[in-house]
Amino acid sequence: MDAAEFKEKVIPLSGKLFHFARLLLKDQAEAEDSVQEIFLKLWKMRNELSEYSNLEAFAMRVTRNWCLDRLKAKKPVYIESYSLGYDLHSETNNPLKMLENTDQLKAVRKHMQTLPEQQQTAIQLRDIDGFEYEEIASIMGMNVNAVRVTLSRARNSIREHLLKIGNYGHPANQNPARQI
Amino acid sequence: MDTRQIKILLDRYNRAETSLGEEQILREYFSGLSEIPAELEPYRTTFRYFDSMRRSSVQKPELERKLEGLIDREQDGRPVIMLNRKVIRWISVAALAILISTTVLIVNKNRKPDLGTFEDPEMAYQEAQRTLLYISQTLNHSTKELSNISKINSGVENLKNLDKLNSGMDKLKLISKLNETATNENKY
Repeated sequence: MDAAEFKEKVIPLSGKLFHFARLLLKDQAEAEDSVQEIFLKLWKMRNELSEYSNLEAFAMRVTRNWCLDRLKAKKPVYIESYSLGYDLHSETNNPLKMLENTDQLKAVRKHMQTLPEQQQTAIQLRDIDGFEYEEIASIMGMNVNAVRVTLSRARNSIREHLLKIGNYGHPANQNPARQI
Repeated sequence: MDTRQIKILLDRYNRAETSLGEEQILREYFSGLSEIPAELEPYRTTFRYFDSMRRSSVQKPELERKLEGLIDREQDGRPVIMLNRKVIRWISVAALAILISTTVLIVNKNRKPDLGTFEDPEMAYQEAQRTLLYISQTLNHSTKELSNISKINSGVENLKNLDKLNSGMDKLKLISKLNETATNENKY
């Protein structure tokens, strides 16, 4: 794989890898640094890259392993410090988005961050990035069945949490989600 | 798609048994503005959250440019130094330390003791002469030590005797002839 091909096929994955790295590392700056180092690593193994049928899934796997190693090497991450680090709605001029209840969306994100890393990753890869079960299995290094179990737990946990904080359709009511 | 079918899909969604296509159907259902049963509201929130995350996870052109630059440099064989934030932090700490220590040094150096000054030009001239004389004396004293360098020549003279070593070596060559005759004799 030469530079032109690398730029065409691999570099465009950087946005996705960056968001994945940020999810795992809970730190914007560190995620950006990591992505650069991951790409340097991918570039150095460019000759083997064409052997992977699913380049995207492979790059995601490299990213996940890299981030998990990095997390292992340092002190425990305090999830709270990241919680509202970037704005969920930076483009508020979209009227459709104005309709969305941002408090509830924030509540979902906040709850997401309390989930185990595997569940967060499974949700990210499936519900946000839209990978197939087999791809997720290969990225996370587990079998498809385990992926389904993890994903199912995460989805149920989010739904139960939303039901608990509740009061759907009555925004005027005292809504515990607002107090978070 | 009616609510009953959606609920069936949601059950399978919760067990993570839905295909990507089926999840797309759910996504479209919840992104619409139509009324939905109250018990499905949590799903609407969840799917909207996923949508908002997907929209924010678009490509990052400035990151891509940075990475392309990185690849170009790496391809040209130029060294790639990862200036990540950790390194930058250390560099700034070091730079600050150097800055502080140089400032302290300069300030200390400028705080010379008061040497006094002469109002009368005649006295100033005499004092300057005295100081210069002192300097030249000390200088002469030091150059005397350097005169010993001439002794090095006599030492080098002695080295000429090394030539004699050569003539001795020539004589030793005769020994090699001895070896030849010895091997010749062995052949017979």
